Amino acid sequence: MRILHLARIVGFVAVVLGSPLMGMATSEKSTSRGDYEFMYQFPGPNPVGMVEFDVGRVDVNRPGGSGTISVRHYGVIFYPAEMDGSDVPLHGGGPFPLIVFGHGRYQVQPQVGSNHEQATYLMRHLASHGYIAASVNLDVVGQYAVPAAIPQRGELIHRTIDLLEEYHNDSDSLFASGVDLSRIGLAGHSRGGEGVVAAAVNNDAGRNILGVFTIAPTDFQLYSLTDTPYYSIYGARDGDVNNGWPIMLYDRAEPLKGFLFVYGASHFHFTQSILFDAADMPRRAHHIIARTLATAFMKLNLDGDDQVLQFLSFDESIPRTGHRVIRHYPLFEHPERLVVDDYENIPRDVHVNSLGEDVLEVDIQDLAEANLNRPGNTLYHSSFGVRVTWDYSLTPPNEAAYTSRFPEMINVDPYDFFSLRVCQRFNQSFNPRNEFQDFDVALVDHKGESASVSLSEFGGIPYPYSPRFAGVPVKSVMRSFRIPLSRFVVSNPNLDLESLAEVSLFFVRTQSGRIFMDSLEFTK
Amino acid sequence: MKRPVVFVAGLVLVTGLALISSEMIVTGAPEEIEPPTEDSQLLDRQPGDYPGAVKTPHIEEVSRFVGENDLAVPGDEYIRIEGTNFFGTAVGPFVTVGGKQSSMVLLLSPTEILASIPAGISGLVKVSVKNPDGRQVDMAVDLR
Repeated sequence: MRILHLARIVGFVAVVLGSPLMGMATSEKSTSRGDYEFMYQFPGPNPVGMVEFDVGRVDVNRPGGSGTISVRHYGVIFYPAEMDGSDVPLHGGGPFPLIVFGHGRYQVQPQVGSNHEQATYLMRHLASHGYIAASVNLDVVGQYAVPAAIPQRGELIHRTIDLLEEYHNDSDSLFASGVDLSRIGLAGHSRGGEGVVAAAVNNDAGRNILGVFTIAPTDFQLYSLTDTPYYSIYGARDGDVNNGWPIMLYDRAEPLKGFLFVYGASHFHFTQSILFDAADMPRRAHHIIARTLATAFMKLNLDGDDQVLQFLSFDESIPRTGHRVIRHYPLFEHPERLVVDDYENIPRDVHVNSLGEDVLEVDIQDLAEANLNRPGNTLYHSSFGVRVTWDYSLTPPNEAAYTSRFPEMINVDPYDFFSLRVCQRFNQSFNPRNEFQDFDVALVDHKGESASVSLSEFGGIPYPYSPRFAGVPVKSVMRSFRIPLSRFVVSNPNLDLESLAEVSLFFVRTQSGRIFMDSLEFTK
Repeated sequence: MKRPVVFVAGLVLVTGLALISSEMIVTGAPEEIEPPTEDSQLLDRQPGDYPGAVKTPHIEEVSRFVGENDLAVPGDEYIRIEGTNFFGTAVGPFVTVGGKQSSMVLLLSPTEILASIPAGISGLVKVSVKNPDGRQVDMAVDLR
């Protein structure tokens, strides 16, 4: 037990020291990460122009009924310009990709009517990096408390895209021939976040929407986003969208998708105009995270910069905020993958994986497939997973192990990573409070060669963020681990990735633990 | 004879409490299964939960709404709630009439709400308005 305890301490220290947000020294280990941070955290090379638009009244479908309602269509556009200022000429380097932003609902005077200015910091930033960034006012449907008028927000996003197309085709417009309508991205916050998802889901006109980026989106409509890359940020201390909606929206989306759960981040600090709200990190840090990740996401999907994929898919994607206590945990899934087990097979059988092969267990206290949508148990995922409990105080001193077998001669060489997602169960005696959990992942080939890697090398499994506020329920949110297959080969050069037999998880790094786990897969 | 009985009863009690408190699920028994509920779709709150500015709503008058509003669904029945400090964020304000949630709530201004009257509600009922910060105000209203 002493060895286990020591391993836990060593693992924890390694995690703390290795956490990318714990200091500049660790951040500077990776050149590419630093490059992207500097590239996207700070303003881009372009001066930024700004112009307001107001095209009068347009019709949208009536929320909760038939027919239409008439609302004012107006907002503001930021763009790469020849010089900083209002109504200044568009930069000559176009045409530029278009990003349309949907703001959150804040029906409080005096902000009503000007909430499209909530995220001007983000609009300006995106424009400086070569995007035409339009923020449309959605207060025009903000009077609807119930129903939430989410599809109508999507309609207004569409109207804004169409307006920019008109400007593009108008030789007298400031944006004449300047908008690249083959490359459109959407971004939004809160109800506006779900609004841009609505615009992508209900995109019957075939607008070229190549990516959707949200911050703390609502989930009234239970949309499932398919065919469009998706990324979302969610603050663990969000007291407004406090019910885990962003996690559920993320889980239902099809890959390519990413998610960052930010310990201590709030809801309104992601705006610049709503000045109250409480968080464990400054508003400035919220803005750095949003603008860095939004820019990186758009570079990936609108500019085809595949290098950014690495930046967005890892723990290393965390922007450097200069605030040493901030901890962020990513989820990420790539569409090219071989699913070993997603725990969604019916009938449910924890001893059969998604490949139809056996799952074996040794000395595991409790192994069961589990519904991960149980808010009362601090779980907010739209998914099933597996619950694993080990405790060396209750079992003989052996190795608690979980093994998922593969069919004959599985070749994972086309993939780059073994990926899984894991979280700790909150408030259980098995998981020491505020300590990381850890276990080893081992790949075994048909010749019996094996190689193992501990999750603590990649940051460990964090203890759920535990706010001391009644209005912010604890959420046990999974984080992805993407372990490079090359890392296993480094561990054992004889491991044959073209002939793998099984993956085993050895729960030997800590004395006890209870975790939830999902999405075991080989992936790009 | 009483001592052994008390001792055994105490032992059972202590063992039971220990099993519960230390969560010794040595048999591998599953945790309580809590099915997905509608709760996750509601962001209802209690006073004191909200981390931001708070506003205590006040109702001055509730009346049946007669007339037309461009945003409301024609043909439905509405009440007009006049007061102060009504507001909304990602959700809210929440309105209940006779204990049932209104299916349409329009926050026209900080001093005026239109809310649909749920089916089957009539007579003397309680109308409640709850802001996103969890602060609530009630008024008894005669809808006859």
